[in-house]
Amino acid sequence: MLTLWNDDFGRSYLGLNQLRRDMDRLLEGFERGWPAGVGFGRDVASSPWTGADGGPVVSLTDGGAHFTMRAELPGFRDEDIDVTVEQSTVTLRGHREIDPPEGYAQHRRERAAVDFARSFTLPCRVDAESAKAALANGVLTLTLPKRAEEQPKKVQVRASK
Amino acid sequence: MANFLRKKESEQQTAQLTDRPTDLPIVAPSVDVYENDDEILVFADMPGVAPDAVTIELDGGELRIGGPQAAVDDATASTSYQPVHFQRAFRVPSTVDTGAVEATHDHGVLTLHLKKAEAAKPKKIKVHAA
Repeated sequence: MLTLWNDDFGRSYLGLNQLRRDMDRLLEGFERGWPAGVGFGRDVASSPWTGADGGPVVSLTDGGAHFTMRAELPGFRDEDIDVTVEQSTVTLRGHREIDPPEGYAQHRRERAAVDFARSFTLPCRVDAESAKAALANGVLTLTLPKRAEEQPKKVQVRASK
Repeated sequence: MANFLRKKESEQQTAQLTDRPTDLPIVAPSVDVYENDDEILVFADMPGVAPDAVTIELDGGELRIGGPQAAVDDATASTSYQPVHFQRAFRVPSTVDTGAVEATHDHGVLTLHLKKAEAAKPKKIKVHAA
């Protein structure tokens, strides 16, 4: 009887897991791209990362001792990007201008001038002093080392006698 | 010029189904297209694509641009996106000189200069009083 109950219980979770996976996939689609009309990047309408003000496609990964944040910023120069790190908050600001070349007729205009500012709260505090930012091929890569007290600690397991 | 550079949606979709260059999701880059008497000028946002990975094909009045985003090695990705393959096709007039295409990829933006063939450039004809 108990086994049967367990099975049902397990099955109901199976359904939930499936739902969660479906939702993840759905949201994954939204995570790419700028709101329609703001446009540099992807053809998807909206995203949790992009508010009404727009913002770049961003990814955040946890490498254990540091976080790595990447933002797609095509056409941005070093001086167009401003990064501030405070405690556990990272703020990205940037702007780019699109100057149509003179004396040309315009057939298609999808790349928009962009002015954005976005803040991200990281799961823990980072060491702003040793944070690094590199811009390559239109992708900004931020390396944000966690503070010493936030670093993962290894706990030795000892068999007790 | 009405059909000039119209995005070839159907052909592109077919290409995606039958001739996918990669397993990466295919995304159309945002583009600006300009034209003057001498050339057609194309800008495309393709962040994360290395300059030597950009592909440009000009064939039978069709221009195809594309390139994969460099793979990112993140073993412990918590919130991450997969790289994509940018790809887009355009119809260009046959007046474009296929031998004289200039391309640069700088800060994730591809710039293409498609020169027009000499014969296709508009000529000014002077009228002389008799």
